Amino acid sequence: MTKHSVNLIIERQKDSPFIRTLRRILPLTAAIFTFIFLTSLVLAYNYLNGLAVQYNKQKREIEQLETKIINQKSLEGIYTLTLARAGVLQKLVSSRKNFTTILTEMDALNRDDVNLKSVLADTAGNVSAAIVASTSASMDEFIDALLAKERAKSFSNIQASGIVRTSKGNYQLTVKFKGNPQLLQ
Amino acid sequence: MKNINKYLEILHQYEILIVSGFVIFIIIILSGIFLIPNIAKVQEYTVKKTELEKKLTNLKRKDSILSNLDNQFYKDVYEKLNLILPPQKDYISLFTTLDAAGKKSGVLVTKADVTLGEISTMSARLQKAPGSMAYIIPITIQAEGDLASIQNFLQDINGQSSRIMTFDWIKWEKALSGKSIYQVTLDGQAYYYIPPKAIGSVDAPIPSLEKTTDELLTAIANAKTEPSLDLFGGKIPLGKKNLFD
Repeated sequence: MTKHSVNLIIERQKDSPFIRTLRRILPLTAAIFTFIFLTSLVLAYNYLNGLAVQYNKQKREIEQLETKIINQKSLEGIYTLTLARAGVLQKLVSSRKNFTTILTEMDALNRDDVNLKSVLADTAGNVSAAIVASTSASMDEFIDALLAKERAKSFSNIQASGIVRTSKGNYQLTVKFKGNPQLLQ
Repeated sequence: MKNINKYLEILHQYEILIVSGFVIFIIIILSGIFLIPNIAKVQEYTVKKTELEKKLTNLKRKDSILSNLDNQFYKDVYEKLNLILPPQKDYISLFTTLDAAGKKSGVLVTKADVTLGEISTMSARLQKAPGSMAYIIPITIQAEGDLASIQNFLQDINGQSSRIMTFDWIKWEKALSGKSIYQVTLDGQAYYYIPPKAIGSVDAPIPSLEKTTDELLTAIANAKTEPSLDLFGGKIPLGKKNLFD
């Protein structure tokens, strides 16, 4: 009696290269996905909890500070309104011109024989003066004094106009010039 | 039966692929359910936290400023500022300023011409000084005195203890009354300022005190208020309500 061997194992079908690649990659991908998912979930929950704790802590701190500030509302009101008013005042003060120095400068031009009848000065430093000089020499002296002021940079752009000799022998003239802006500080 | 066996065979052959694909699919679904909303929440919290941090910084700054303020100093300065730049036209303080400056300097104020404007309507309040929040009251002043007293008068009304005025021009001429006596005409404006009716909310930023403002406030605090302005302790006594009583 002869023995026969029979192969009962079904022959395994050979996989295509694509399936073979998938067999290697897919389980690894699934493992990586799972790991990333779980790690991200834990990290996100932890981070979120941390944020929530910080958020609540800040909120409490804000509430405490707000209560403290509300209790100082009257002081805040006085301070804010004082600063608002002071700001407005500061602008006005800085735009304000002081005419005292120019007044002194003009008074220094006064002489016995030269009468400064009127002087008009504005905030731009424009000065106009009506003068009566008793003699031409005194008028010259006055003009020299004005030129000296120009050399000292107190006045500039001096112009004399309307020189009239009156029946009394006086000389009337109008002098216009620009005062140094420093004089109005 | 044969078909089922065939499917089972295929299942068995590709079980690793099927399970892996299923796991990936489930992970994607779970990410959509749990992870993405959490990430969105993290983003939301981060934005909110940034806002809170900003608010907290503002409040801390505000609290620090308020805690260091001298309550009495600001009360005093505020009262003085009310005299210098009052909240309404307040002609009385305008004239008392001129009277006080005149008396102090020795100048005789011969005329003070104040343009009243439409006092019965709000329209008169609409004339503001250029580049400023203050409202103006046009004013022309005439005064007589010698040079020194006129200079003192000008210094006095330019001081920080009385009603603020600015002048556009000055004219001075020899007065008929004496050789060294001048008649001065000043043309300009007095001011008043209507403060805001309400201050900001609790978390509104508070202005910080600049050096120049601090110097101005200190100068005002140290300046002696004109006696005339303090004459009635800041209050005008009222008479009878009915003249015939």
